[in-house]
Amino acid sequence: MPFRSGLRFAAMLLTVITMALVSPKGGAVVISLMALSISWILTWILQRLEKLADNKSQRMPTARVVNEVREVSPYLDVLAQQLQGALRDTETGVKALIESLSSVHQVSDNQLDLIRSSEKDSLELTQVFHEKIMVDQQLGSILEMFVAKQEADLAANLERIERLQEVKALEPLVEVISSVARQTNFLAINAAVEAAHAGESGRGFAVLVAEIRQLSTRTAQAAVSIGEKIKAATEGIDRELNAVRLASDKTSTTGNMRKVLGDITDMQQRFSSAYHSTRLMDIVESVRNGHQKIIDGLSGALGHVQFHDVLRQRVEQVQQSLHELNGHMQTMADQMVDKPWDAEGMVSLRARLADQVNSYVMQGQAEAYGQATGARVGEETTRPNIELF
Amino acid sequence: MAKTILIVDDSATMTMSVKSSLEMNGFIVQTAQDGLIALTKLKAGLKPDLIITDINMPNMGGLELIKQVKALPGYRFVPILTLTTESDSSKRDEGKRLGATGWLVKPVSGVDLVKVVKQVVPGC
Repeated sequence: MPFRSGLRFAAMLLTVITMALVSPKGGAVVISLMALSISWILTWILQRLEKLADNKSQRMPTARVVNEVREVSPYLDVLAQQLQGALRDTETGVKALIESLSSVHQVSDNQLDLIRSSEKDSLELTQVFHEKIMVDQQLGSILEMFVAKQEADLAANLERIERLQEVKALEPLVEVISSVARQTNFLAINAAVEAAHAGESGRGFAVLVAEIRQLSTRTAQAAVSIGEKIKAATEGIDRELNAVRLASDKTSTTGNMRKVLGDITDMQQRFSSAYHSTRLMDIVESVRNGHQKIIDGLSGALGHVQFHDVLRQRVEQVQQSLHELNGHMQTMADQMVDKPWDAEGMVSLRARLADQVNSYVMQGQAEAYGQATGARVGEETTRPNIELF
Repeated sequence: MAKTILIVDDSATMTMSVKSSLEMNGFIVQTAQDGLIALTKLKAGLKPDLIITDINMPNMGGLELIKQVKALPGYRFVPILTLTTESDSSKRDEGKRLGATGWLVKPVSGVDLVKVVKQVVPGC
């Protein structure tokens, strides 16, 4: 009967171990499969032991049982080693994962460095833009003043030359003088004829007429001379006027300068627009924010891999329990064949199972124990996972 | 100036993951596999701005480390966070009594960890 009772506790202990292996949150698939394998093998061993214990017709039940119990030891050793191997494999995988995450961060970090460098260049470029805008503004102002003055000078010259054209108004007067001279000459000729008819009495009058004729001739000559000079002057004025008009033409020098000034102003506005544009800075800021999001994401992923340490501790606790179970079963076998039965000295499986609770450090371990045994162990803690004192 | 953090944990994956997470956020990280090694480094002159320690470790556990660090001249005010699977309230209370700054139960999200670190490291 004590042996059958021991088997029942062994069954319970194996169930607790199995639950502990299956339940870790985020546990690797390989560990879960391993746990199921352990569960199946331990159940099979337990069934064999129970069958042997129930078989009352067996002539040498004790020897068979002892033999089977002895075989438990290598079984459990193999299982413990398999668990250890699985832990090593997952640890290797987790380390590789962490290195991969770190390399992703390194790439992102390098890109941020490049962006930071671009940002520096951009700031310098912006400063150059700013200085160029200032220089262009000054240059534009100087050019505007120069062009305006030149245009004003041209307009003033044009006005002065146009005023000189009033000389042309003298041309009809020359004709009047010439006409008067011709009429005077005709009058003088008629008077000379009349003086000749008058004879001696008209002699003095003839002298006067001759003088008048000379005067009219000189007047006509002077009128011609004045007319020629006025013509020469007006022709000169016309040439100057044409030249000034040509200079003030929009397609001429000042016109071209106005066009250059317009181009400079246009370029200045484009520079100014680029200078005040925040797009480049927005891109830099966006990349910086993206980098921070990458860091947050990687930090989150790195936090998740802590499951491996939780799993490792639970597996190690299970390995320890398997070791204790093996020790207990071997002690039982010893006391069945080699040593006298020591009911008082042998720690019962019930006590060992109860004692397991003391080695739990996680709430999850206590919960797994509770699910397997129906017992409520550990404290119902409401304290947060992060507590600052 | 970047702050220095000493991580004490016997788990290689824990050390790696926490180290990477903190380094990504601009911290300088030193590591030790147990309390004894950590204490040796501190006595050799390492002056971290924060110590993050596991509780259950071989050679010297986290609670003993807290006790020893608080007794070291010049290290009394160095903040110490525990990062452990240990959820036993009595252990938490013991850590608080010994002078721990905070108690974090694994697993802790990397973002939360960095947030807490920035909260307890002076001038961060």
